[in-house]
Amino acid sequence: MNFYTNHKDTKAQRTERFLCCFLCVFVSLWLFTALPAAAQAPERRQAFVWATTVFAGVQYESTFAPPDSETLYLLADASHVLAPRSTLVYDWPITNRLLADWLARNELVTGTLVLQDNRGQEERLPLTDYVIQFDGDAPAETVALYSGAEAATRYAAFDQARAAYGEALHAQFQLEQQYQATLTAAAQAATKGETLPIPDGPQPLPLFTRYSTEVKQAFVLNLPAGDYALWLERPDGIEEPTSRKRLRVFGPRRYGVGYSVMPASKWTVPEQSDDPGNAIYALPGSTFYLQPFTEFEVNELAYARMIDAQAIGIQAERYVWVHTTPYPSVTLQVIQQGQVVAGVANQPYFVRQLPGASLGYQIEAFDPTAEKSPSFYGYGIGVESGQNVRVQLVDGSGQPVAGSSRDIRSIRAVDRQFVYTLSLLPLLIGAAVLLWRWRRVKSKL
Amino acid sequence: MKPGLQLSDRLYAAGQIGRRSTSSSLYSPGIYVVTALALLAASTLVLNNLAFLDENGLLVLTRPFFLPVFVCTVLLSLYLSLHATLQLVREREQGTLKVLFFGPVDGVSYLAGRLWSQTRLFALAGGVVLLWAGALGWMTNLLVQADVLAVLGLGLLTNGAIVAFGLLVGGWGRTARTALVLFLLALLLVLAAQFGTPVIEQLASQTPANRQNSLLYLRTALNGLNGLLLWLSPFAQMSRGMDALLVGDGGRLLLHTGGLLGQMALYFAGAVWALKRGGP
Repeated sequence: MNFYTNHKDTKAQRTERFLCCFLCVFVSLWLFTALPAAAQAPERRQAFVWATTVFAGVQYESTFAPPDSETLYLLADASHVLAPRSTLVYDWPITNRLLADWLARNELVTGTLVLQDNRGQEERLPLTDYVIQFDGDAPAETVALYSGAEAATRYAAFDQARAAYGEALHAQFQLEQQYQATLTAAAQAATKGETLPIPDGPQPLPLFTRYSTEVKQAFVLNLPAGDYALWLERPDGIEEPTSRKRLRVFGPRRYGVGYSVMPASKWTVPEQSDDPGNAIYALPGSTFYLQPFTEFEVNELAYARMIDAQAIGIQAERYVWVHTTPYPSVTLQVIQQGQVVAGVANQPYFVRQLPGASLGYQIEAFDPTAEKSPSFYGYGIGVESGQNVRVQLVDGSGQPVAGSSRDIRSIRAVDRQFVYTLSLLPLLIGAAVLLWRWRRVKSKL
Repeated sequence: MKPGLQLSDRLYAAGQIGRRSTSSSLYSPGIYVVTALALLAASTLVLNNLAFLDENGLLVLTRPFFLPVFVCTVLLSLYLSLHATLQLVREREQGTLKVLFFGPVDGVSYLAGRLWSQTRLFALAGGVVLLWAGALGWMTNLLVQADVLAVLGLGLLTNGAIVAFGLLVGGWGRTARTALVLFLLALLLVLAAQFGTPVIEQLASQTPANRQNSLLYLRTALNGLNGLLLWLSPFAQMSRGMDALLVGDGGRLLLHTGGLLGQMALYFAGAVWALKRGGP
């Protein structure tokens, strides 16, 4: 092929040249992207990041948004913390994640948060004090975020309670020492044939279960669902580079009451009934236990990226149920053909291991005089043959709890071969039609 | 449009073509065999659930017949679409279309007749599927709810869109072999994007991913393709319509129903254009 001649290229030559160029570019790109990674110590670089502490429905979770992530996600109508931080970040190729070296650098970047809604209206938020507190005995029920002046007040109260507990602990220690000394004296007197009175020991001090973060500064957001843009404006009025993000505040799609369904035959492997549209199918004669909890359904991608900004393996099309707190004890109504036929209470049960090598167990009603503590609480449901019932929780005023209704159906055994034979029904219909057609044609001939 | 061919003429012609095509299909074993195969696949899904129940003692399900009916819809609509494609190509190859188009029939009425025929066949097969679901529900006590009818309604629209796509492929491909290859390629593309993405996601989440992991690139590419196919694949629209049904979201159900109708109209218009371009 002569490229120096000045005559017009034919269509085939142009196509051939285009294909050659395309192939060269494709192979170059492939080779470039397929180069093996060189093992090396990660190089740290200074970066501005948004460190987030988000309310995930049950508890607060912390993560940070890498500089190259475009969108932040927050749950609507809940308080979240956004902290502008300067830190050192580095790529960790083994997990394909960007990590922050908080120990090496963790500085608050001062400024004002500019929040712009999708109508273009801007709101400016200053840095504020915040503190997160909860009681370890019931973290989901007690977790709270306090901001502004209340943060300092709450932290002071916590600090005071902690100090008081420290003093009580010290007093307890002294009482324990006195008690030990009395016991030792009594033991020594006993060796001499004397009997000294032994007082009761001091009552053990309950554990200090309250927890609090220290008072820190950040932006505290509590927003309705919607799309926003946000960025940090430094004190000199200049926008902090790489601080601009899209903010998607998402709300739950549905709320409901989910159930952990424990078959008596496998009580340690419960099934989950999250969707209020679920039906529970069981074998006749079996028993299972329901444990209700409140829940909400959110978009999987938004929820997962809120908790971990670098989460992978998630889909924007899917929704997930988030379990929050166990539903408080109420009554479970059993409804058959529209009539309430029974009310089941949330009761304690004890799992008794059967003696011998068979590794079996038996679930029985908890007897406080015989056992220390119950194995679990639940609403026990026995399934009878041919039974079709619906269960629903009712609150203290007798009103049904929304989203708590479930159908319970007893399954009838079927012969698999018969089910497959039923699938061949179209062939039977086809054979009948073809036979009718054949006879009709034959009679006309 | 042929000069002088009114809407009523077209409807009459389409009705006649549709009726004859339906009779012809009902007098051949294909539709019965495919319906039986679809029901066998659906039965396997139901029996799988029942086997799990036997093993576990308990089963939590939302709509036990949604997935089986979806599978039946996929198999039936693929068969009916391929059938329509091959019928169109064969009739063009044999010169039947030329003869037809001398009469009061044009591309629109011919293709509408074909679409009508395949829709009626699907409706008949859907009726059998409904009977099967009712019988199996009665035998096992699995819940058959009225919204199975809505799923079948979505299936009817999905079938219409898939058949219209098959007619487009038939109009585009000049020979039966070309049309068949085009149809299978399109099908593979849709299946790879729709069912490949979750598989790749699963693989990517199981293996430690790094920047040289080819799965990451494949996943990104498939995600992009999937996003596009959401608006091109009737199965994707039907699947999302079923999800809207499950959560009782009437707005989204209407959106995806409209999406299916839009796809049907788009592919049908494409088929008319392709037939006009290629000639009878």
